[in-house]
Amino acid sequence: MASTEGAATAIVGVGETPFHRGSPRLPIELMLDASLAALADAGLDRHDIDGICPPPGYTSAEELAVNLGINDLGFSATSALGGASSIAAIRNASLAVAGGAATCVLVVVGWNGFSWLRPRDGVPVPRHGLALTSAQDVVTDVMVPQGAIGPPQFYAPVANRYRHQYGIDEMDAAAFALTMRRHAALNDIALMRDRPLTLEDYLESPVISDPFRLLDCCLETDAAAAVIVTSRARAIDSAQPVVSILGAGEGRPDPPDDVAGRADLLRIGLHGAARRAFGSSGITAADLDTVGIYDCFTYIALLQLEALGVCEPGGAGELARSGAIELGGSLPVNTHGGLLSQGHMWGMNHVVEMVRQLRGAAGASQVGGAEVGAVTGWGDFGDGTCLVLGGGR
Amino acid sequence: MTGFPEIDPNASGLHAQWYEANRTADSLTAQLCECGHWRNPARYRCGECGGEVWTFQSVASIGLVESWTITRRPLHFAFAEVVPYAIVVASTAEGTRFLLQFRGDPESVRIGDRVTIAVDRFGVPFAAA
Repeated sequence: MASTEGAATAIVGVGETPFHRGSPRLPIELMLDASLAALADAGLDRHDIDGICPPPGYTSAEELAVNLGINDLGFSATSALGGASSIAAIRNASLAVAGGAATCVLVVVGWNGFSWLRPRDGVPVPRHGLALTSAQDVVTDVMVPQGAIGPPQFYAPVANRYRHQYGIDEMDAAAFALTMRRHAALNDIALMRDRPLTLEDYLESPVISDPFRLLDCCLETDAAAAVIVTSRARAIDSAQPVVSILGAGEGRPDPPDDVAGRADLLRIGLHGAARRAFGSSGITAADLDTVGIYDCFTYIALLQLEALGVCEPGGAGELARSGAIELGGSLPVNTHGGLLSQGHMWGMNHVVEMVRQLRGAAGASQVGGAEVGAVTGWGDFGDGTCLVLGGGR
Repeated sequence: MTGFPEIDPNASGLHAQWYEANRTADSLTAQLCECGHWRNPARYRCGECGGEVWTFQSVASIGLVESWTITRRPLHFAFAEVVPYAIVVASTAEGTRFLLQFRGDPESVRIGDRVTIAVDRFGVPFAAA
């Protein structure tokens, strides 16, 4: 494996809340819970934090700082890449620490992804929701009048083009979904821990928008997760085994604000993000021991495996069906159950799991000898991010 | 399925101008930059030349299906009565690409099909067999 000694920064603490489908707590309250859990995990005091990367919406650096008692905040940054924002924010934090703008940065995300669609008595509604950008203008003005309301419809033409071009089929997608569910069975906080899934269940699940069946879609979730980024030198003295940030990148499809307008529907942000992340890490996809894929939808997860470079274009279906992505396989993917079966925490849950893997602290889900892993992000209309992490000193 | 709901897009800015241009032309339009580059959705400047001199011009009324989806569970009450319905990504001879509702048998849609493109009374474009 590549040496981690050249890395400047590390993830020193991770935290997450339980995953709910109907939490009585506001997103900000969940984010504070996760932030305090990450601080405790790192063995750091809240006054050690001098930078915050909040998510695009729900809260602000100011609200987080005042509630955490951080009274000398010197850095903040927010990236708006939808679900790819979590890793973009970790990259910003890493760049800030490496560049001297901050010494210890809290990166936190949280939301009421289940409850906002299901208002009910006794559940508070946050005053601020997801921050909307000009991408939403295209949705509202151009897509909605065509009957395209939500993400399953935005990404379905990508998935159908992928099926058409490479012969990817529902058995490939099913293999991915079933693998996620088996992984979730080992995860105490996974929403689907006690809900085993069979191929028959998958094939009988209703089609939402072709080719996406209900069980191709991730879980609407109320939860929060946080990580703390600091210098590698400081991390070596911390309470936890060091997990170094070896590389990080973000990328966007062209154009980034509209799916239909692309000359190649299968050219996604992760292609650029992975190139940048590996390029700055000195390692390649072949070095990876385990991978976290932003599995908002099964087919989109398969496409990302290819964009990450762990298999050839069109090869991800076979990779999934072969069992390679399963615990015990050659490249376990989403050992926590992913967005599909643990819950949707903007992919920060994938980062939390990867840190645990590289610490050797993933319990029943531990990948033996895991030293290098990569995590992907996907958001908005296919924006991509990629984070390459390494364990060991 | 019943008729596809005609929805006033109630759009803003350049998008509103685009629907107005479609309505006026009674056909699908896209932005044509003075450099000759076509683009859609509407944007302030040209990604090719950087210029801001453009007009909305009609594009070909025949499109090629690049991809599709059939929505079988409504994601919004406005479409509850019309599921299943197909949405296609269609390209025109100008090299522009559009997301278009398909008014016809959704199960008939295939990649590579040719579709005809028209606009409704709000200037909202749609595809048909």
